[in-house]
Amino acid sequence: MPWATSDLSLLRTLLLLLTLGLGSVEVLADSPDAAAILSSSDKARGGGLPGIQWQVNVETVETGGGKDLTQVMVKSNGDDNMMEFQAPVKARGRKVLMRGNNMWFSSPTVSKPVPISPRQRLTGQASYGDIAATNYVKDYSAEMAGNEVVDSVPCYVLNLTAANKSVTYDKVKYWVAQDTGLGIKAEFYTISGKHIKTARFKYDNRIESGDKSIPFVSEMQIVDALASNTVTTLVYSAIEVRSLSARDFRLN
Amino acid sequence: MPGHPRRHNRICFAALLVMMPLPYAHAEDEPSCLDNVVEAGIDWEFIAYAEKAEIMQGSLNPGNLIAELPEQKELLEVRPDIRFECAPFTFALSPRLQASRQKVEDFLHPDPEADSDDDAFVNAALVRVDIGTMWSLEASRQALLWGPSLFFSPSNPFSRVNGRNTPYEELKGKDFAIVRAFFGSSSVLSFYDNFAEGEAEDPISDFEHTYALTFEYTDFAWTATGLYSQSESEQAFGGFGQYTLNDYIVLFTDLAVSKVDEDWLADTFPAAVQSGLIDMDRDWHAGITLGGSYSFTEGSNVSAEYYYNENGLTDVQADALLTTGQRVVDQLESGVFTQDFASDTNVLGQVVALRQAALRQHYVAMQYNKNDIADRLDVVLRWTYGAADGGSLAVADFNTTVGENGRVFLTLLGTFGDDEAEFRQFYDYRATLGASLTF
Repeated sequence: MPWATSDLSLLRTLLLLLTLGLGSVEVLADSPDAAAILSSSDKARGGGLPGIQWQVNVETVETGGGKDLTQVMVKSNGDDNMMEFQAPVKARGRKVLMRGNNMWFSSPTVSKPVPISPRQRLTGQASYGDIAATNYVKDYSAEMAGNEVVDSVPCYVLNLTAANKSVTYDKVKYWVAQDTGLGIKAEFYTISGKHIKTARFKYDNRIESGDKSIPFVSEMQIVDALASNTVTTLVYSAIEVRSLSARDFRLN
Repeated sequence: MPGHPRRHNRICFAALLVMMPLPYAHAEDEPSCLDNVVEAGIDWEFIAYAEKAEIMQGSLNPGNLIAELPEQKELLEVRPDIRFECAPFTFALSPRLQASRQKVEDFLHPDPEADSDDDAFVNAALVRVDIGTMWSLEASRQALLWGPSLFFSPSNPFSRVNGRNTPYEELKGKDFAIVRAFFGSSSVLSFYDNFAEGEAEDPISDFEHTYALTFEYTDFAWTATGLYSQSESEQAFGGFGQYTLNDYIVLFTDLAVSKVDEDWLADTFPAAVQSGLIDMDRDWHAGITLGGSYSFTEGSNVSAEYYYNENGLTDVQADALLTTGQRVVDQLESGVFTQDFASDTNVLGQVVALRQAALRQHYVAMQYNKNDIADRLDVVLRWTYGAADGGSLAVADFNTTVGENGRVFLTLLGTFGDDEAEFRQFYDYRATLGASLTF
């Protein structure tokens, strides 16, 4: 039976709807959830784990060729971060404790821990916020900002905006590798939009997460956006995933 | 850089290992504590300093007979800190070797020779066992300080002053048994039993067994601790807390209401009680510290604190005390002594000893600190104002690194105001220059 004109119209409409429908499915598949990407990338930088401990060696090479080496032991669990300085000798025994928005500093030369404000997170080339575990999915709201290729790696680009005033940076532009789900580059901005740092990450360590072995950050290289000849490199080692309790986050 | 945390120096481990118990080691098939070493190390500090002071010999310290402060002091000290942690045990030991020389000039010894002394003692020690995630038990010797306040901690029954005017001196440790229970990540219940005086000997009164029970809660932007403490002479309710107002301001408080046993007061400080300079008619006395600190973008901090001390002397009592002291001064200067000389001297000594932390009722303190100036200099500037009498005390502390292991420090203290002011009673100035080597 020949197709009636109205039937052809109906068929075309159905095909169109089907095409649009399939297209929609494909578009959804290409636009993954920004929070899910962030959550996945956080794990490889210490976030979302039951507790983690690591050692960070921070090397800053300044414009004039000067070199500064710092070694910090970090314990992290959710909003709690304890940083204990082990080198250089002058800093040995200094501790910074971050519990949510509460921060304390202690040192062998002061008789008891001193409360300090969250602004102290930004002190230095590598801030305490950089040294501590990353929990971007909790601290920032994320929006997809397209796809780009960084160092031949196709990446999702995320724009992160601070979810509260307690975070280290107001805005972050974050590149996450599409194949591995690892954050490989970040640009950090102030609330006024001033670009202050750029960081790149390597993941040559591995940790056990559940019953899986997953990559873990091994190096974070920070370039100061204002003094681009100053490069700070954080090297992560002695990583141990273990349950940490409130007892691990006390200064006395 | 070493791959494992805190393995600076292993030389003295053998000694520590010999001393420590080895839990589980008796069971051949069970893991030894030594199989689970979390942290281990020994830090050495060699410190030497020289101090020169101009001692005031005014109404509260006539002839330097009350405080007996040294006008000159030199000290050399070796400070090893040993730490060993193999879950669930933690051990720490801080023995001290000290050689010192000081010259104390007073009315009875106007031109004395310097006295030399040497000493070896353990200023801090710790044995702690963690039981599961909830409990920890510890026996320790330590100078137990708590709370966010910078200058005075009215809630702390073990030490109300923070010792910040002499940062190069370690506070002396007392002996404690401590039990802690951790409830989740936010709450901690602690019981403290200060069962012996340790190295913190009190030259005036006998040691008192002191207990404290604290409950600490930490939220995202604030933390608070409530406590009850009791000794043979005093019971107190109090607490301390801090609130992070925004990115650059932290507010804090430390407070207590306490009641001192009247019989104990009358027995221990009879001359002061009989003179009427210690109130016996008020039940509970309050001590409150209110403060805040502001952080600048470049990393420095300024803090301010107000301290109300209801236990302190009123204007009338302070006048009576100064009059008593002046009588002693007059007799020392004239060389003619009356029968009241001994009792007046007793009154002065007892009132000053009882209210060592703060003699008067109102104080304001401010502090500015900045670390790592030019990557090597730490500076602390501190000013305490006695609002009741207008006197003040200023401290400037400069600390700089020299090479990889060295440190040089200079601490200057000066007092200002009327000669009747509390802070002008003991020091005119004091200067301390020192150096340390750390390995």
